[in-house]
Amino acid sequence: MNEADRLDALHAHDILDTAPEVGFDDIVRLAARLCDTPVALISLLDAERQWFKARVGFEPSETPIAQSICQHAVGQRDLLIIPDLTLDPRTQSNPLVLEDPHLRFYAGAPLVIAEGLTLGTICVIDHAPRPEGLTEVQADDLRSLARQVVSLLEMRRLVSRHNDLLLQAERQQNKAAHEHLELAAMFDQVPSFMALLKGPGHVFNLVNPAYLRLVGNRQLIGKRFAEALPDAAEQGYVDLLDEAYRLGKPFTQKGARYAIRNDPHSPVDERFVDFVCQPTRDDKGTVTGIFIEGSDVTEHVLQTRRLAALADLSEQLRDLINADDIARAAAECMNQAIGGSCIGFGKVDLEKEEIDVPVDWCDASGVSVVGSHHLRSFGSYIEDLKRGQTVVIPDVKIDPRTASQADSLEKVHCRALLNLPIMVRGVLDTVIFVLNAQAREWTSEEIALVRQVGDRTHAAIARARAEQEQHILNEELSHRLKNTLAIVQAIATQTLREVSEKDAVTALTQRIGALSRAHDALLKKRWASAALEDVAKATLTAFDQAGRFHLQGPSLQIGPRATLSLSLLLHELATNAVKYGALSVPEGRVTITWTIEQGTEEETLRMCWAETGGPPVQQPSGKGFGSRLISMGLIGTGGVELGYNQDGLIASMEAPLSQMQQP
Amino acid sequence: MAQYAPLKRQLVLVVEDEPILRMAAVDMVEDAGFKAVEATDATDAVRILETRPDIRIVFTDVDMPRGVDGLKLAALIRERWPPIHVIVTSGKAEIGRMKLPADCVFFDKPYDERRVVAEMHRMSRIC
Repeated sequence: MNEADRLDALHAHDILDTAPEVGFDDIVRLAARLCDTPVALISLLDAERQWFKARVGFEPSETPIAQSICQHAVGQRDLLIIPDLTLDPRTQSNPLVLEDPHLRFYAGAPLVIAEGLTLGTICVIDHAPRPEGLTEVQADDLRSLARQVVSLLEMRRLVSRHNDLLLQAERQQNKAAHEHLELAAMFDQVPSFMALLKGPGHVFNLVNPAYLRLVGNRQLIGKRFAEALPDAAEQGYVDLLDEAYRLGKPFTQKGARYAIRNDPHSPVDERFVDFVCQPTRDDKGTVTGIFIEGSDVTEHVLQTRRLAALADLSEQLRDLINADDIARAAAECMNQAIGGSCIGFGKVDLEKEEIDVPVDWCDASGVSVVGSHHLRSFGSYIEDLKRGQTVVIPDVKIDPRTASQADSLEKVHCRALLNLPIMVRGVLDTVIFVLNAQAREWTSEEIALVRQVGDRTHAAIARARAEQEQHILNEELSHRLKNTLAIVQAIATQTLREVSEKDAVTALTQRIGALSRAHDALLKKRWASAALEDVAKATLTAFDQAGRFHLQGPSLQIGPRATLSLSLLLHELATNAVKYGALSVPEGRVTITWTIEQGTEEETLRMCWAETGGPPVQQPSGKGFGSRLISMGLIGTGGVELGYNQDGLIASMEAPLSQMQQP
Repeated sequence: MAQYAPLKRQLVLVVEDEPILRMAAVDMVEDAGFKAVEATDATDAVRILETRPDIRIVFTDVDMPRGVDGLKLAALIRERWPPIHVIVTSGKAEIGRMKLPADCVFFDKPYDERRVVAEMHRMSRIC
């Protein structure tokens, strides 16, 4: 047994520095009387001090361990008796002996607990030496008292442990009660909906407020699921519960649709829920019920739907050029994203203040409003529309703009409405509308969507209009240019009427024609570029030999300069082919191919004009304008190789693609 | 260009508001062996058609001032004088892609005279 164990045992008794107790006080008084001494103490030996649980005839409540006489009793089985402290080497230099209170006689009995450890002593002390020590009886009494002290200590410890246990039990109970309250609060406050169903009939045993909110605050507790929520039963939810109960397996659903209808006459509230059904079991593992937990993800599902509808709209608007088609696409988008009893759009006649609705989409609760309507007959909000403001009315009976016309609105099943004005050049042109048969608090997300639809629609209409105007302008320019070319041609023919060389005149007028057709090809892409194939076809159609030209190559846009030079080049080649080459005989053919070749530094367009089936051709002797046009090549800088083969002419032409596409 | 000279020259009505173009068209028609009659717009043309039942071919521009354009004239001719052949010409290439009245031939401006003449000869043979 070491000192550490002894100290642990002492501290476990939890007695040091406690208040005086009658039991211990009585014992020291008895000890002093029985032994006839002025001083008696119950001394407990701590690490650095001795502390007195009870004392008579001694003032200090504790002394340093160095001054302790009792410490010498530790390890003793029996009494320690020192008749004269001044003579004993263990105590003769002790300040308590040398100085006040001048102790002289000591007799102490060790307090040995069940584990065999000595916690301290009960001792009697005198101020005069007692050579005779204690009498037999006194020694025996002191031993008895020591045993009493030990049993008191033991009892005290048991009582205290008992109290601890009681206290602990009480704490546990409080904690459990608190946790229960917390759980109940959580159950009540969590955003998830929860319900506990009991038995095979799925009787509602517990529901939290979120669950009640979801189902529209109906009476549930004690009712069977099918009876309490007939709408959900109709939508197949009881079958799911039956299956979970029968199989004892949990199941989950994500984004499940639940069309809530409190009673057959009320409007349907469409909700989307994620939920899990978890079977509950008793001690034996038998299924006793189902715990439902889930969350309402309607807002998330609707937001996803709205975003998808907007993305769809953007996609569609890219290709639409007609304002009516654009308005239709916008209305379709709102139908998909927001929904309502009746959704559509109408052209506004501002003078008559009429709206003409060509088409609308209605659900079961709406009625079609196709046709002409006077806008004032639905309220004064036309003024807002004229200013380009979106009109949002949750309840037409309350809103001051519509309250007086609520009856006429009711005839078209309109209790709430959203109107989106489409302005063209700052003037109200079209209204896209959403009508709802019931009052409806339009959410900020829905209104934001309507605004976004409006922005996109306006942008699309402006773009379509600009494109249309550009197109008209282009057509007009092209028309004028070609008329001018026609006049140039007419002047040339008139001027050269008397010239005997008619072929030269024809060549001139036909070249002017080729130039004119090149402009046609450019017009299609607003003079920015033209498709190479279109340019070749436009040039070659002038020769009425469609079936004898074979064109092959990748689709490729070329710039306006290249378009003009390519037209003239092909025109000359075709003219020659008709006069002297393959097209001068019925079986002759011309194959025109082009490819793009990836060079080390840049891409090159290679084009090949190959005549077959014609008479043998020879290099012309002279160097006329036609030959020079051909030698100028695709972009007027050469790059042409002519092969006068037995089979027919082969013209190989090339030019850097970047130059062909130069704007 | 005339490949043969008909015994009695057939009449071609040239309708064109632009004088130089009209002059060139008349020359083209005459050189091809026809006899040309001139009109400066559609109204003028209708007046001539009403007095000259021997006109067999009408060669008309589309864009002309004063109301009726060449396309409407072609439709009117098809209705009132079905046997007359009509050739339409315009600087608006898209007209060639539009639906024209039956038996109407379109030439893009500036046109290739040889092809127009060839078409007139074809028409004169089948009338």
